[in-house]
Amino acid sequence: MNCRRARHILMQEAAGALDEKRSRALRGHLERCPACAAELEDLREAGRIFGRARAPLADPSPAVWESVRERIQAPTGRKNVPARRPLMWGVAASFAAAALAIAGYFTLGTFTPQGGLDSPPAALQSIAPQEAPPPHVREPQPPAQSAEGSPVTAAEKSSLAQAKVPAAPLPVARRSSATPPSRPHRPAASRPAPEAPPAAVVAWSLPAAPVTEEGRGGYADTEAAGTTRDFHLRSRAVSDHEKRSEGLLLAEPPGEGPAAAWAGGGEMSAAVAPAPDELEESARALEMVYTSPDGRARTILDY
Amino acid sequence: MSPSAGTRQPEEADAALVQKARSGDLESFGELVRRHERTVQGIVTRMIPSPDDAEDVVQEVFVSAWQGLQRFRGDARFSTWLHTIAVNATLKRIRQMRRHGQVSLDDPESGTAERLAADTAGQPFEQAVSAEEKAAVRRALQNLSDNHRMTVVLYYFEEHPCEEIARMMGCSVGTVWSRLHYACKKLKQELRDIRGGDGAAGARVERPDA
Repeated sequence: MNCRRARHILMQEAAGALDEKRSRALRGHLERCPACAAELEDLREAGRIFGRARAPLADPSPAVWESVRERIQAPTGRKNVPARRPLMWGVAASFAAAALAIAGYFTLGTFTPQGGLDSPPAALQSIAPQEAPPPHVREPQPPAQSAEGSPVTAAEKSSLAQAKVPAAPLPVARRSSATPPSRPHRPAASRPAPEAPPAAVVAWSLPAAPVTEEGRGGYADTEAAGTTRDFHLRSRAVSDHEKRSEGLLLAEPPGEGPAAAWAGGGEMSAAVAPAPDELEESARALEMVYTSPDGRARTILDY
Repeated sequence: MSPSAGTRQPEEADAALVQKARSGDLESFGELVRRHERTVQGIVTRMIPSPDDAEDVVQEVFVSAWQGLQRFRGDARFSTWLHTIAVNATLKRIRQMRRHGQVSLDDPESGTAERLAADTAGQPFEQAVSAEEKAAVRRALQNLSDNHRMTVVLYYFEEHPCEEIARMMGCSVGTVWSRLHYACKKLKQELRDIRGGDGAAGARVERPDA
């Protein structure tokens, strides 16, 4: 075992979570490597301190359920039974595939397979910082611009091309009510806001077709961004996405999505944005922006 | 690492309540809220400094869960599904707040890190944390990204297993370990700075391979 491999599993060893076989192999390395042994001790100490630093929480507010019930039952709410919305997994999967392909596209374009977990995502750092002033309208850029010099193979390009266009016509679906549930305590902070511009953008066209809110697809892309160095992971990640996306889509405020505008066709673009911390490897966000035919841009997903 | 309160709850009881709630039984959903509000509040309030915002997000999580109950297919634990919603709603709100300039979670005055690493004096069930350790934890947390901070919260403060954290955060287990590794290095570096009398705010942690 070399230092690089050792450091990938040091934290697990520090937490006592390493299986015996790997732990033994690691200990063999540590006997020969004082630097890794010292780092293990650092991690153990830090872990102990984090564990002790946990603050006790106040008791849960007794009003939680009352407030939640009030929101659920509010006259402006959707309904007083759980929403039984049609799940457009076909559409969601199309966009999931697109999202993954895009994430993988940039990942492949910016990481080398040998990069390893600890390699700084140097190319990503060249992407515009998130703190840049937010534009009102974002113009999708051609893929070639962002793909310049990327080592994307023909097969990957083919996959990406497929992802750019929804594989099947978007199903016609009933439009869900656009009325958001009552949010009596909702602060101004939760309103949609202009956002930082993506620097690397892939764009594709959407057919004019009615789409439900669920059809907007897209999801927080940490898995894809963190793991699509290996393109074979894509299909597995898509199926995983179906599980995770439930929570993610639910986290989107109902009724505030771009479903209405989307139904009129237009352009869709997506970008992998850098994480605020340059050393964060897996938290890059995928932003999907819908630009309607009249040029207005709306962010579909801002993770 | 002991499992969280949420994961200790009998899954069968949750499943039965979910079944009833899916058919529109509000009281069953209310029971689910009561069973899981502690863990949801733990995730949210350890990350969001403003009590009003935190409370709003907690409510939002449960309202979203109610609205999406039909999509919960039972192939994961209800608690994991719910915590996934909580993690995403929390991270989303933090990003919105930051975008609006409402609060900087990196602001030492915001109180977030202070609350995360509270003074445990007078809390007999917590082990003592020295002043320098407390300061180091506070500084480390302030300087971590949202995802790193959330990972620390979920692992060390809410005591979720890494596999569950990976599911909640939509990342691989390896990424969770990698984030914990980075966070621990950061903490150790802050501790070294404090102990060495070098309180340089801009001190950086070297990457493991750097």
